Amino acid sequence: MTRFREMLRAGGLFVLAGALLSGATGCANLGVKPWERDLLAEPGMEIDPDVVITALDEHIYFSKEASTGGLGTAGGGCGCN
Amino acid sequence: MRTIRKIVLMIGLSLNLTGAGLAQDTAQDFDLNEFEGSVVLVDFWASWCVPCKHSLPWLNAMQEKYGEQGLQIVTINLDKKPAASKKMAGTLAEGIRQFSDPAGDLAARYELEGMPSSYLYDRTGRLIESYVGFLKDAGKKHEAEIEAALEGKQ
Repeated sequence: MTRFREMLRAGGLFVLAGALLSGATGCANLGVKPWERDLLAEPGMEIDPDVVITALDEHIYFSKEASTGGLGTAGGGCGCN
Repeated sequence: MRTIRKIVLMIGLSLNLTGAGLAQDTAQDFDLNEFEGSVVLVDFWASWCVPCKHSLPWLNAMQEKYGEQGLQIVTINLDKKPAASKKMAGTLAEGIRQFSDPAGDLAARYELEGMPSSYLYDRTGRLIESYVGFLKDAGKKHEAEIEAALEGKQ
Protein backbone atom coordinates (compact mmCIF):
# COMPACT_ATOMS: atom_id res chain seq x y z
CA MET A 1 0.00 0.00 0.00
CA THR A 2 2.89 2.35 0.92
CA ARG A 3 4.59 1.50 -2.34
CA PHE A 4 1.38 2.37 -4.24
CA ARG A 5 1.23 5.73 -2.47
CA GLU A 6 4.86 6.46 -3.33
CA MET A 7 4.21 5.68 -6.98
CA LEU A 8 1.12 7.88 -6.92
CA ARG A 9 3.11 10.73 -5.39
CA ALA A 10 5.92 10.36 -7.95
CA GLY A 11 3.38 10.34 -10.78
CA GLY A 12 1.70 13.45 -9.37
CA LEU A 13 5.04 15.26 -9.12
CA PHE A 14 5.85 14.26 -12.70
CA VAL A 15 2.53 15.65 -13.98
CA LEU A 16 3.00 18.86 -11.94
CA ALA A 17 6.53 19.36 -13.31
CA GLY A 18 5.24 18.82 -16.85
CA ALA A 19 2.45 21.36 -16.36
CA LEU A 20 4.87 23.94 -14.93
CA LEU A 21 7.35 23.43 -17.76
CA SER A 22 4.69 23.76 -20.46
CA GLY A 23 3.42 26.90 -18.70
CA ALA A 24 6.92 28.38 -18.64
CA THR A 25 7.36 27.90 -22.39
CA GLY A 26 3.83 29.06 -23.24
CA CYS A 27 4.77 32.73 -23.61
CA ALA A 28 8.09 32.11 -25.34
CA ASN A 29 6.73 32.62 -28.85
CA LEU A 30 4.21 35.43 -28.79
CA GLY A 31 3.49 37.88 -31.56
CA VAL A 32 3.65 38.00 -35.32
CA LYS A 33 7.09 38.39 -36.87
CA PRO A 34 7.67 41.45 -39.08
CA TRP A 35 7.83 39.33 -42.24
CA GLU A 36 4.54 37.58 -41.36
CA ARG A 37 2.38 40.71 -41.39
CA ASP A 38 1.02 40.29 -44.92
CA LEU A 39 -2.57 39.68 -43.80
CA LEU A 40 -2.40 42.37 -41.11
CA ALA A 41 -1.25 44.85 -43.78
CA GLU A 42 -4.40 44.36 -45.87
CA PRO A 43 -6.77 47.38 -46.03
CA GLY A 44 -9.62 45.28 -44.64
CA MET A 45 -7.67 44.76 -41.40
CA GLU A 46 -7.80 48.45 -40.47
CA ILE A 47 -9.87 49.42 -37.43
CA ASP A 48 -11.96 51.63 -39.72
CA PRO A 49 -11.66 50.03 -43.17
CA ASP A 50 -14.29 52.27 -44.83
CA VAL A 51 -14.82 55.80 -43.53
CA VAL A 52 -18.03 56.40 -45.52
CA ILE A 53 -19.72 53.21 -44.29
CA THR A 54 -18.70 54.01 -40.72
CA ALA A 55 -20.16 57.53 -41.02
CA LEU A 56 -23.45 56.14 -42.38
CA ASP A 57 -23.62 53.48 -39.67
CA GLU A 58 -23.08 56.11 -37.00
CA HIS A 59 -25.73 58.35 -38.51
CA ILE A 60 -28.29 55.53 -38.55
CA TYR A 61 -27.33 54.55 -35.00
CA PHE A 62 -27.84 57.94 -33.40
CA SER A 63 -31.01 58.60 -35.43
CA LYS A 64 -32.70 55.34 -34.52
CA GLU A 65 -31.50 55.08 -30.95
CA ALA A 66 -31.95 58.75 -30.15
CA SER A 67 -28.48 58.62 -28.72
CA THR A 68 -27.26 61.97 -29.91
CA GLY A 69 -24.10 63.10 -28.26
CA GLY A 70 -22.56 59.69 -27.83
CA LEU A 71 -20.73 59.97 -31.12
CA GLY A 72 -19.99 63.66 -31.01
CA THR A 73 -22.72 64.80 -33.41
CA ALA A 74 -25.52 67.36 -33.05
CA GLY A 75 -29.22 66.90 -33.72
CA GLY A 76 -32.22 65.00 -32.44
CA GLY A 77 -33.57 61.51 -32.77
CA CYS A 78 -35.87 62.33 -35.64
CA GLY A 79 -33.64 60.82 -38.33
CA CYS A 80 -33.66 64.14 -40.16
CA ASN A 81 -29.97 64.99 -39.88
CA MET B 1 0.64 23.34 -90.04
CA ARG B 2 3.57 25.74 -90.36
CA THR B 3 1.38 28.62 -89.21
CA ILE B 4 0.34 26.68 -86.10
CA ARG B 5 4.00 25.92 -85.36
CA LYS B 6 4.89 29.58 -85.74
CA ILE B 7 2.07 30.63 -83.41
CA VAL B 8 3.10 28.05 -80.77
CA LEU B 9 6.74 29.19 -81.07
CA MET B 10 5.80 32.84 -80.72
CA ILE B 11 3.63 32.18 -77.66
CA GLY B 12 6.46 30.18 -76.10
CA LEU B 13 9.00 32.93 -76.81
CA SER B 14 6.76 35.68 -75.45
CA LEU B 15 6.13 33.71 -72.24
CA ASN B 16 9.87 33.19 -71.87
CA LEU B 17 10.59 36.87 -72.46
CA THR B 18 8.05 38.09 -69.88
CA GLY B 19 9.66 35.87 -67.26
CA ALA B 20 13.21 36.83 -68.20
CA GLY B 21 13.42 39.96 -66.07
CA LEU B 22 11.90 38.29 -63.03
CA ALA B 23 14.50 35.63 -62.36
CA GLN B 24 14.32 34.97 -58.62
CA ASP B 25 16.47 32.37 -56.95
CA THR B 26 15.22 30.56 -53.89
CA ALA B 27 16.37 31.17 -50.32
CA GLN B 28 18.35 27.93 -50.42
CA ASP B 29 20.52 29.38 -53.21
CA PHE B 30 21.46 32.42 -51.11
CA ASP B 31 25.13 32.46 -50.12
CA LEU B 32 26.84 35.70 -49.15
CA ASN B 33 30.27 34.26 -50.04
CA GLU B 34 29.18 34.32 -53.67
CA PHE B 35 29.49 38.12 -53.61
CA GLU B 36 32.88 38.35 -51.93
CA GLY B 37 34.88 41.21 -53.41
CA SER B 38 31.78 43.38 -53.77
CA VAL B 39 30.12 45.75 -51.35
CA VAL B 40 26.80 44.02 -50.75
CA LEU B 41 23.50 45.50 -49.67
CA VAL B 42 21.03 42.76 -48.69
CA ASP B 43 17.48 44.10 -48.67
CA PHE B 44 14.41 42.26 -47.36
CA TRP B 45 11.12 43.43 -48.87
CA ALA B 46 7.53 42.38 -49.60
CA SER B 47 4.79 43.67 -51.88
CA TRP B 48 2.42 44.36 -48.95
CA CYS B 49 4.98 46.59 -47.19
CA VAL B 50 4.46 50.26 -48.12
CA PRO B 51 7.92 51.58 -47.08
CA CYS B 52 9.44 48.75 -49.16
CA LYS B 53 7.66 50.15 -52.22
CA HIS B 54 9.28 53.52 -51.57
CA SER B 55 12.71 51.93 -51.19
CA LEU B 56 12.74 50.06 -54.52
CA PRO B 57 13.42 53.13 -56.73
CA TRP B 58 16.27 54.07 -54.37
CA LEU B 59 17.73 50.55 -54.65
CA ASN B 60 17.52 50.80 -58.44
CA ALA B 61 19.28 54.17 -58.39
CA MET B 62 22.06 52.84 -56.14
CA GLN B 63 22.65 49.75 -58.29
CA GLU B 64 22.77 51.82 -61.45
CA LYS B 65 25.04 54.48 -59.94
CA TYR B 66 27.50 52.27 -58.05
CA GLY B 67 27.19 48.87 -59.77
CA GLU B 68 30.34 49.42 -61.84
CA GLN B 69 32.29 50.43 -58.74
CA GLY B 70 31.49 47.11 -57.10
CA LEU B 71 28.14 47.50 -55.38
CA GLN B 72 25.91 44.45 -55.51
CA ILE B 73 22.35 44.87 -54.29
CA VAL B 74 20.66 41.62 -53.29
CA THR B 75 16.93 41.63 -52.65
CA ILE B 76 15.08 38.94 -50.73
CA ASN B 77 11.34 38.92 -51.31
CA LEU B 78 9.22 37.62 -48.44
CA ASP B 79 5.80 37.33 -50.12
CA LYS B 80 4.18 34.01 -49.27
CA LYS B 81 2.74 33.92 -52.77
CA PRO B 82 5.59 34.91 -55.12
CA ALA B 83 3.03 35.86 -57.79
CA ALA B 84 2.05 38.85 -55.61
CA SER B 85 5.52 40.35 -55.96
CA LYS B 86 5.90 39.67 -59.68
CA LYS B 87 4.88 43.15 -60.85
CA MET B 88 7.11 45.00 -58.36
CA ALA B 89 10.03 42.61 -58.83
CA GLY B 90 9.84 43.39 -62.55
CA THR B 91 10.61 47.05 -61.80
CA LEU B 92 13.95 46.22 -60.17
CA ALA B 93 17.12 47.16 -62.06
CA GLU B 94 18.86 44.54 -64.14
CA GLY B 95 21.99 44.24 -62.00
CA ILE B 96 20.08 43.53 -58.80
CA ARG B 97 20.23 39.89 -57.71
CA GLN B 98 16.82 38.66 -56.57
CA PHE B 99 15.92 35.88 -54.17
CA SER B 100 12.53 34.64 -53.01
CA ASP B 101 11.98 33.43 -49.44
CA PRO B 102 8.25 32.65 -49.04
CA ALA B 103 8.82 30.50 -45.94
CA GLY B 104 10.77 33.30 -44.22
CA ASP B 105 13.81 31.09 -43.48
CA LEU B 106 16.34 33.82 -44.27
CA ALA B 107 14.22 36.42 -42.46
CA ALA B 108 14.26 34.22 -39.36
CA ARG B 109 18.01 33.68 -39.68
CA TYR B 110 18.60 37.46 -39.85
CA GLU B 111 16.03 38.01 -37.05
CA LEU B 112 14.45 40.98 -38.83
CA GLU B 113 13.11 43.67 -36.53
CA GLY B 114 10.98 45.42 -39.13
CA MET B 115 10.18 45.79 -42.79
CA PRO B 116 12.09 46.64 -44.88
CA SER B 117 15.42 45.63 -43.38
CA SER B 118 18.80 46.09 -45.07
CA TYR B 119 22.31 44.93 -44.29
CA LEU B 120 25.45 46.50 -45.73
CA TYR B 121 28.58 44.33 -46.04
CA ASP B 122 32.07 45.43 -47.06
CA ARG B 123 34.17 43.71 -49.72
CA THR B 124 35.40 41.10 -47.24
CA GLY B 125 31.88 40.13 -46.17
CA ARG B 126 32.00 42.00 -42.85
CA LEU B 127 28.71 43.55 -41.71
CA ILE B 128 29.10 47.34 -41.57
CA GLU B 129 25.59 48.71 -41.12
CA SER B 130 22.02 47.52 -40.76
CA TYR B 131 18.91 49.57 -41.42
CA VAL B 132 15.30 49.02 -40.35
CA GLY B 133 12.56 50.79 -42.28
CA PHE B 134 13.04 53.28 -45.08
CA LEU B 135 12.68 57.04 -45.01
CA LYS B 136 13.45 59.09 -48.11
CA ASP B 137 15.69 61.43 -46.09
CA ALA B 138 17.70 58.45 -44.81
CA GLY B 139 18.59 57.51 -48.41
CA LYS B 140 21.33 60.17 -48.53
CA LYS B 141 22.92 58.91 -45.32
CA HIS B 142 22.84 55.32 -46.57
CA GLU B 143 24.35 56.43 -49.87
CA ALA B 144 27.25 58.10 -48.05
CA GLU B 145 27.86 54.86 -46.16
CA ILE B 146 27.80 52.87 -49.40
CA GLU B 147 30.31 55.31 -50.95
CA ALA B 148 32.58 54.96 -47.92
CA ALA B 149 32.37 51.17 -48.12
CA LEU B 150 33.23 51.24 -51.83
CA GLU B 151 36.28 53.37 -51.05
CA GLY B 152 37.22 51.01 -48.22
CA LYS B 153 36.91 53.74 -45.59
CA GLN B 154 34.80 51.70 -43.19
